[in-house]
Amino acid sequence: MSFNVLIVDDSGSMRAVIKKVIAISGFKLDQCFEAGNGREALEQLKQNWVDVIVSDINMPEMNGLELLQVLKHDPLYQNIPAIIISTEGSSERMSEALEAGAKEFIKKPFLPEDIRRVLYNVIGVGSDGAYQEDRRDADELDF
Amino acid sequence: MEHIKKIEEMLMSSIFEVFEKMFFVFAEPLRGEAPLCPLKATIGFEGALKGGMRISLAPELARAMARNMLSLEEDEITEPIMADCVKESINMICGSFLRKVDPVHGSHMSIPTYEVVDGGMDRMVQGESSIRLAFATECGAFEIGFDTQADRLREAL
Repeated sequence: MSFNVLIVDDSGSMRAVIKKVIAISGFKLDQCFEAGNGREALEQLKQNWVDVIVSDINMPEMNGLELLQVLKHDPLYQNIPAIIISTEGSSERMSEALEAGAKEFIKKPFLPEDIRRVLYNVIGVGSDGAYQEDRRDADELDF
Repeated sequence: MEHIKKIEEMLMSSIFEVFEKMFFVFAEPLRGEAPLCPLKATIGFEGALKGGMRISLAPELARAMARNMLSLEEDEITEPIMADCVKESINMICGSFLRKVDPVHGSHMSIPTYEVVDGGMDRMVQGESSIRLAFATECGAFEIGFDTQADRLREAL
């Protein structure tokens, strides 16, 4: 089983790093879509099927929290799991993100293992398509 | 000046964390001033503290950061990619530092800006509510400047 991912960050370099980490984490990545802010993310969602969204918070035009609010109230998108990756990692900001619908929160700077662990938690499926509960050694995979 | 020492330690910890984790660059504090560095990125913040932070660095270092973070070949590194990496570095340093100052309450951070300053950036000043830290790396020097309001700094600590 392969996945489509939407990466939302105003830094092209950060999008590239996240994409690379996901690719080498062993996930079967089908398509990776990119957006520079929340508004662009909504445009991508109109045109493409997405299994998981990975978004920054601090972006121009529409930030990550505003994006989460739109997704939460749209029946078409409210079931797409969203992961926040942000420098703004205070407990107040993390609570805001989780209340707005984020499934997980990763603080920048991050280690590749952080993204891999969170993706496993959110998607619940390993690189070979097996469900996570069947993968007792998932955390011991070579990175 | 105890509060300045405390802030310096938090800032240093954030700088090392970001440079090592994201850019695979190992920095050593410089006792004196760093050479004037032309690439500059600035970010503003408001929360427990209100102020700004900036980084100035050598082009060779920005090139190394882009190469290491994105696994790029030398001919793939462009000016916009370098600029993006420099902006992202101050964004992450600032965020990490603010989390250390106040782990509970969120701060608003501005979108980082970037510029190339002909002849190098002005010297950053150090005072009661501002800090300047200089570092050396294998690929060139950099400086981090931090300014805030003195009364809020004392309150936050």
